[in-house]
Amino acid sequence: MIAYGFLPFSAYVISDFIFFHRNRSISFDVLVRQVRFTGVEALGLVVLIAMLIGALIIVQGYPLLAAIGQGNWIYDILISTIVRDLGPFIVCFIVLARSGTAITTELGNMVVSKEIDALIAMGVSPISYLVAPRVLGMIVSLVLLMSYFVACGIFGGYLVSNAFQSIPVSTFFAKLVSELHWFDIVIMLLKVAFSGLFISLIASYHGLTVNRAITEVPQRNIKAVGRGLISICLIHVSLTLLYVIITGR
Amino acid sequence: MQIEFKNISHSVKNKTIFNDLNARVSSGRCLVVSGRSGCGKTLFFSIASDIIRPDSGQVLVDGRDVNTLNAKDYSDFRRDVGVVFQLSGLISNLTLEENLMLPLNRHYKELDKSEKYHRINTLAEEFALQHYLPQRTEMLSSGQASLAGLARALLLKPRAVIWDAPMAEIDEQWGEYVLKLLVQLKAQGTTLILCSNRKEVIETLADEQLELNELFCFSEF
Repeated sequence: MIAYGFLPFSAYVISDFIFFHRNRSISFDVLVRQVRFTGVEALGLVVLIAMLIGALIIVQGYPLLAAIGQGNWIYDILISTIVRDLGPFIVCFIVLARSGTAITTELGNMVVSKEIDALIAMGVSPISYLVAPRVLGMIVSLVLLMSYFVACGIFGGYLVSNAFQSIPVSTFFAKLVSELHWFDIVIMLLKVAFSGLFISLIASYHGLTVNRAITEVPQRNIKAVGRGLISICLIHVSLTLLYVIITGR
Repeated sequence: MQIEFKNISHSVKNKTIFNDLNARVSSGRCLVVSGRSGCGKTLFFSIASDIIRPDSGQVLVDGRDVNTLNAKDYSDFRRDVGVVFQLSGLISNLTLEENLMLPLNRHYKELDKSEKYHRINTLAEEFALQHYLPQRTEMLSSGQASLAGLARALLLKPRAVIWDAPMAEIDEQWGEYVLKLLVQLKAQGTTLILCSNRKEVIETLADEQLELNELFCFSEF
């Protein structure tokens, strides 16, 4: 379906979503649907995983830190795992596995059933109508999901920490906020935003490069997941290095 | 709308399908493209509707090469040419109403919403699809999906209709109705390009016929 490479495709999509308002009459519904599917319908799964991970960090970390008299480090560890490093990675991985594969499958099937041809024949650009709103929706959704994840992960940590030491909720959150640096939030947002951009671009590209056979769809899906995972790792490692260089921590 | 195919050559995976093919159809006339299965009717349909660009040659619309149209003229070309696919090409994750609304929202943004709904309802009633408007298109039978594809193409009041395998999925009763409709459209000046082997289509509508031969294509007028 697409006769050009990933980089020109990405440039085309990004230039298109900068002018998203021009195609709002046809693309807005797709954007809303993408945010609902990725950012809202995944809520239950993300909340559950966030609470479990928050709890797990406390269960594993608190006894060790308490044993060396550094129980207060638990806030720093919660921030570094839930907010800055592990949390964004897990959320991006969930979105890649859930929504990235859905995008590749949906677009691939649309190519096979000639729906993309039909859009072209109606004068509707598949990039403007199908890809740009998905990219934008994915970025918005990842920011939303990350917010849930942080809230629930920390809350899960708080619940479990009470099993070791009874702390009033206000004290717990006051200590946590005092350890939180604004740059932690910036790095978290950059990680999820760039990952959302690349997951959706890679998934859309592989969906649209299906030619005509339905058997190509799972093959493209495998490629999309593999490349999506590599891109997430590269983005997260690069931004973590940037964080270390800038903050010296 | 006059559509002309000039020196069209096209290969698929190193196999020549069209070699210097020429054809022309004038306003209010019908070109029927026929030939055995696998000879390239659907490829011709794709080239005619500018979904695939040929390796060489030109598709001229009212004397202008489609390849060289500016954005505004190309958008007008898309609005003026209704394309109907063999497998309907309806967007599967949209309702029938949303499918029909899509080309209207694309080409007639400024049109009043009530006028858009009026056009959709009128066409849906004409093809007995009004009860399916709020449903997703997977609920439609293949015949109904074909009719819905035709309705979507006619919604913009096109100056030309290009249809791959018309009547292939439609029952006899609806087939007669659609044939009459196509005759009527032709009488109103709409140009038709139909890729079909069906006798009734050729006998009733063909003003010009392009017979595609396997491996090598030639045109007969």
